[in-house]
Amino acid sequence: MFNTDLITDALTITLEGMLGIFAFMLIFYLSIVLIDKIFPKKIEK
Amino acid sequence: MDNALFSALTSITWQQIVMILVGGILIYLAIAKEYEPNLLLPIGFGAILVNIPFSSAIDQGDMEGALTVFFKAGILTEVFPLLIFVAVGAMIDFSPLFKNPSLLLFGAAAQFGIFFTMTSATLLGFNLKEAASIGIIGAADGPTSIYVATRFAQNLLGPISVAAYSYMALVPIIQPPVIKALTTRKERKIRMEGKAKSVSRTSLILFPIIVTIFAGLVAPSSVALIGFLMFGNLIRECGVLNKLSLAAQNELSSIVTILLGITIASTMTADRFLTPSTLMIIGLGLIAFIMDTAGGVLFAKFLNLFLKKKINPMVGAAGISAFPMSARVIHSMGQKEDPGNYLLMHAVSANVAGQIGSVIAGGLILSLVPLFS
Repeated sequence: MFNTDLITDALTITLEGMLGIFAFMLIFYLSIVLIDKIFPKKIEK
Repeated sequence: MDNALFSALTSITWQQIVMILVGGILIYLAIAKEYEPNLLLPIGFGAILVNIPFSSAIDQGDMEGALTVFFKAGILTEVFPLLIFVAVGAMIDFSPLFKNPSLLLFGAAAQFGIFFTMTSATLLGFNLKEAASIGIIGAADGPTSIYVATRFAQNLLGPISVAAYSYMALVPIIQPPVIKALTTRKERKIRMEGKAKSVSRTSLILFPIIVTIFAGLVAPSSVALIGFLMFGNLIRECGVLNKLSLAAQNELSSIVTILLGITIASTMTADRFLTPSTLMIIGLGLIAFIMDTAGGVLFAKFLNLFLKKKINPMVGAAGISAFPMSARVIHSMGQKEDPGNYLLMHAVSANVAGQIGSVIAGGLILSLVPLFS
């Protein structure tokens, strides 16, 4: 039942998955900042 | 007395009676407690339909049942979850992200529960694909859970869906004690500045297109998942398809929700549902939500070590996909500590980030897991 290979795989996916999500979010953050600069928004207040 | 007429009555098993009771409980929770009634009521009623002996709602020998037909046509082909994504995309307003883009990071941190739970599930003896499907309950996003489970563990679709939707409804009960355990009163009182901004239409139109292209290029397996969500959002934001946008938000959402709920129930036959795995999945689902909340809060506390203007760590917990419930919970917790503290705007931004984060997490799971199994 206790399979070390399986757990190692799960931990690798955890590491790669979390890094992947942060990388995606960072790219989306930069995209938003860039889009915002190119198409500026009006400050209401 | 005609034996053929009463054969169901005489051949019902105690397991089927238990499942009919489970269906009744889900219907009760949907109506009396209003726990995600859109999904839990159809699932509950469907559980009753499929556990009546010789039910014509599901396949019996050569006889095709309607729910099995729906399952093959709508779930196995992934059509129902993807149509729900179009509807959800049409309902999401991404403008809070443009007002507070840095909060996007919380949409990542609060997905930690997915991976923690996946690893925990492997310790309990589930294989990697099953564990990933269970972990994705932590996406706090029903359609993503259904989509991933359909790909990786169809045998667990029933309990995973029930757990995902039940815990989404229980966010106001699950999150506050976890947040309180991980934060001090002083931290919960932190006020965050914010200014109201308007976002240009061009920005809101470009965002779903850019996200789809980028996500697709990096993780092609996620194209359907993210693409349908962003397609729905593009319909909403383009400004020339208001009729379609409203149809996606209302008619499409309602029709597919009915079909999705009752079809998922076709997998909830006693022989499949009444297993030790179901209990483990219900327990692991709770762990997923707890660890999501912890991930968001602890990440905010970590960032505060370096920031001059501190973030209220409770906002990190709103990085899950349960929208807008999680944002409301955080706002009301902030107001309890300090009635003059308005965290709603920030919490909504983190919550919208969670909606993207959960789908990205689903896409990454779909891409990564096959590489290891």
